[in-house]
Amino acid sequence: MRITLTKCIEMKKEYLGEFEELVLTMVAMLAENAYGNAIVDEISEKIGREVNLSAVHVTLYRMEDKGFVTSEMGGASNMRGGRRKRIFTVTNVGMQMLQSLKEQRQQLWSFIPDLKFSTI
Amino acid sequence: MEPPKWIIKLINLYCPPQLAESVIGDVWEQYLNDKERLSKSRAGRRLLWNALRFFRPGILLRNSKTQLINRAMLRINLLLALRNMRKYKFYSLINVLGLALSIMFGLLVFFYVQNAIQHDSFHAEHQSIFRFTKENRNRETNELISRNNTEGNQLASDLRNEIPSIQYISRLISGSGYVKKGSETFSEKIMLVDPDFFRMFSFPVLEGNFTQPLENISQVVISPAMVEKYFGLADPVGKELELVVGNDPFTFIVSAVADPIEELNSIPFDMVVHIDHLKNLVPSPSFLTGYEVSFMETYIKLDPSENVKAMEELLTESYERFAQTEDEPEKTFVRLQPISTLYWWSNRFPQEGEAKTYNPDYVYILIGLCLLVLVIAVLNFIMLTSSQSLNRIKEFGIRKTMGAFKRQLSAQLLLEVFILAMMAGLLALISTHQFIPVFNNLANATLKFQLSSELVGFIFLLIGIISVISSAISSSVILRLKTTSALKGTLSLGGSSFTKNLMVVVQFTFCVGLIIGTIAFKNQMNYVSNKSLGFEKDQLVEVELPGNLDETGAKKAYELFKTKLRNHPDILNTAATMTTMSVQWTIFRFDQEDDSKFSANFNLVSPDYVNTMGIELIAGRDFREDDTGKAIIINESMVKEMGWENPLGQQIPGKNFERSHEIIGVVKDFNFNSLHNEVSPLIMATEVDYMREGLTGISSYVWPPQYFTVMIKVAPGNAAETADFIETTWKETMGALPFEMKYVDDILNEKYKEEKRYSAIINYAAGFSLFIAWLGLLALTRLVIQKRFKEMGIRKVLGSSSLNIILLVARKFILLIGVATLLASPIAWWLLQDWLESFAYKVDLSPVVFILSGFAVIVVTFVSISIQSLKISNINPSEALRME
Repeated sequence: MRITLTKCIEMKKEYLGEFEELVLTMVAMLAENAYGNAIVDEISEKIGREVNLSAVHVTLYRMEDKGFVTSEMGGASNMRGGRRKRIFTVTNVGMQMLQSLKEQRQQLWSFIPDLKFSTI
Repeated sequence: MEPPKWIIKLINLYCPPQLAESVIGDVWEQYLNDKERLSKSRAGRRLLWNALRFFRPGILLRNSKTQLINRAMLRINLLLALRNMRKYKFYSLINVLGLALSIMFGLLVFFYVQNAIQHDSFHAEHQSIFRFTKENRNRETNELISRNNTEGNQLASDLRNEIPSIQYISRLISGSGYVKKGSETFSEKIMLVDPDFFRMFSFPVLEGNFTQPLENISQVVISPAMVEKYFGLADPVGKELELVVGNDPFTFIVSAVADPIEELNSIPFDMVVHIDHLKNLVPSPSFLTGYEVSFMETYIKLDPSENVKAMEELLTESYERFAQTEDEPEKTFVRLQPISTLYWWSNRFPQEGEAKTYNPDYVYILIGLCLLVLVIAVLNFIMLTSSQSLNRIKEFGIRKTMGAFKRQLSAQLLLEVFILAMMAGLLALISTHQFIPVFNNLANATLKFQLSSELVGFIFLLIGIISVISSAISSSVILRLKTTSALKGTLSLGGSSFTKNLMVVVQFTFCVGLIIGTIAFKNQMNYVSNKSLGFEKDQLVEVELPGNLDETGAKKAYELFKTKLRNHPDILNTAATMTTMSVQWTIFRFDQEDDSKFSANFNLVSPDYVNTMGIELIAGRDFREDDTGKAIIINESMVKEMGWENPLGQQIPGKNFERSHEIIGVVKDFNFNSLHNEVSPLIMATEVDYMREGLTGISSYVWPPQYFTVMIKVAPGNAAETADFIETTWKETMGALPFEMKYVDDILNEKYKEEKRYSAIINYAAGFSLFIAWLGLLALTRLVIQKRFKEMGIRKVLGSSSLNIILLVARKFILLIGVATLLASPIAWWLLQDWLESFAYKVDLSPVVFILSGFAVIVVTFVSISIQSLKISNINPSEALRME
């Protein structure tokens, strides 16, 4: 059986890299508490991957440029020498992006068993 | 609680203000988290790393400052830099090439020195491993009498029993033994050590018994090279290996394979067996006890907390007790030599022995050379970039008129220079990688190309410094000019010419100095290799007698071999000897009535030795076949030392001599050790008995006194046939025992190999530096000529000859180089004197060397200037005049 991956080829103009997607998901997950350090810790805790703080920061800023997240300052604490956190929130566009990525994945996944049987 | 302030400041420096607060906050928080989990210093390091990681384009380019300056301007400047490079190909090429060459040289030297420093430091706790050495001083005057690092057999057990703070102790001695493989026999170096050896040193055990490789006397530990030779691909552990140590064959079991890490280890080994086999090697059991005889090295490992100074004092005291030397006029001080100084020896310790050593003077020479070459190249680079930028005065004038800031122009200059320097750095890295095998070959080193972060950092720093300095000089010259005069293109080089002259002089001072050094080094080496050694080294062949023979066996074997050999017409003479020129000669010590000691070298020879070696007899007669062991021959130095008017019939001083020996002859001094040393007193005898009586101490690398080597003098011509004949004769008399034949000439060359190698490296360095300086000069003259193109045209029209024009340009440079030669000569003379001091026999530094070096450089300069000048003087002057 020959399959055409039309969905896959029809890529949207904006798309996310693997790391960007990871960070964006984390921002969505952490909701009100999404700032640089928390994301680093969360990534290490949830999937055991050690990432550098600066990489997370740069990714967040880049996604802010693309309009997937917005940020505002808030939540100073002694632990931070009185500096405020930059809290990120996912925008509607960002949420849509995540959604569509997830759907694409699921669709692709659904092809896998088909492929397996058809080759026999 | 707080992270260091400077790190916060650092982040503020490059972080855009709108982001800085949250970034610092995050970094801060992480630091505090880290500090809870990790140690404070590790948290600090991670903090710095985190902070530095924010120095990345994703952050930097969000900075308003960088946004303003960069982007568009950066792109244009980059474009201009590349364009300029293309336009002035000649300068760019010379610049990049010169700098790259010198950085390459620097890198090679860096690797070399790194390797030398890291020698023997791979052992765990290597700071607490020492070689036991002794320093003998006069008890009253504290004057240094001698140093040595050989010990008797008993020392190790006495130390082990008496001093509990010594963790491990191992004796070490090596000799040659035979290894049987099938019907073949090979001669191998076999090392005897205590089981502690593998606990003290961290030689990686590759296979077999990891914890206790030398458990008992029947075990042998071998190196991977030996595995390959005797077992091929098979697993050697547990296999049998038949070794002849001393006189009897013994079947060993391979217990482990250990890696001697050749490139970093000064104690190389092939086969290691238990020290108990020593009893088969020594001539009598009396050698195994007491302190009179010393022939092996002792290594100890202290507890790391132990104070070395205090330990030395304790050992000195104990040694005196063990050896019972309280009443002697000499006091023995124990000095613990850290193993890190085995390879890179210092003057505080004796250098001969089992360990591979290395003269650090040569490392200093190398570092010095490397710095010289670097300085020459850097000066060259600065000189060239700054003078080349003068070509572009007009361009900068226009830019200024159009409203460019000075800062922007400086930035452009910096960028251009930086790109050139970067290219040089990259080229250097690539070429170093390519040339490491060549260098390894040349310097007989085993260097590997390893890029560490420090190294890359160092190169970048160097490149940065070079670019900043040279661009600062160019901008100071260019930007100081008035815009109007810059536009007119009229300029005088007046202001900067002093600095430039100075740089030329410094460069050529180094160059001339290096050339003087090269010539002097060559002269000394030639002198050493051609110096009359006092014996005739040509057509002299050495053949090792089988090592498993005892005294009478060796004598018989030699007689048999000799009789057969002498039948051949091309064999002129033969002799047997105990020691050869490739090892340290044995020293005998004789106690005197007043308890002082007299020492002299000793060699046991066959009666035909003096004749075979071609040593000149200056008094008395040679040995005769019917001489008894009484007869001895001494050398000139001995006569001088004793102050004998008539040496024949005198006695060697010593209170223990019972029977009288007879000095039958005196030979002219011949050089049996290195030419670094003066010839010392020597006694030659055909039997050791008469000398042994008076003996109270021995320091020796060859033992027992018996024939070990046959010296054969062959007729010139037919070398190959004669060699074949010697080999067949060997097979007829000795059977399958390994045959090894060496020419004394080759052995002597081997001795000065180190010096020869350095002489080659110095040649290259001098070549490099001269080439780089010459490149610079070439570019500089070209620049000067271009500037004065029109002037030269006018001169030509008015009747100036080509030679006149060349001289006009060349005069200044030749003057500068003359000054450089005058400066370099005394410095070079002084440094060379210092080096030559290390030779007992040295050449005189003749002034011809100095004059010649300066002259050579002047000739090279003159030629390069002439080539450049000829170009103008040969073109039609009207063309030069028309040029605007």
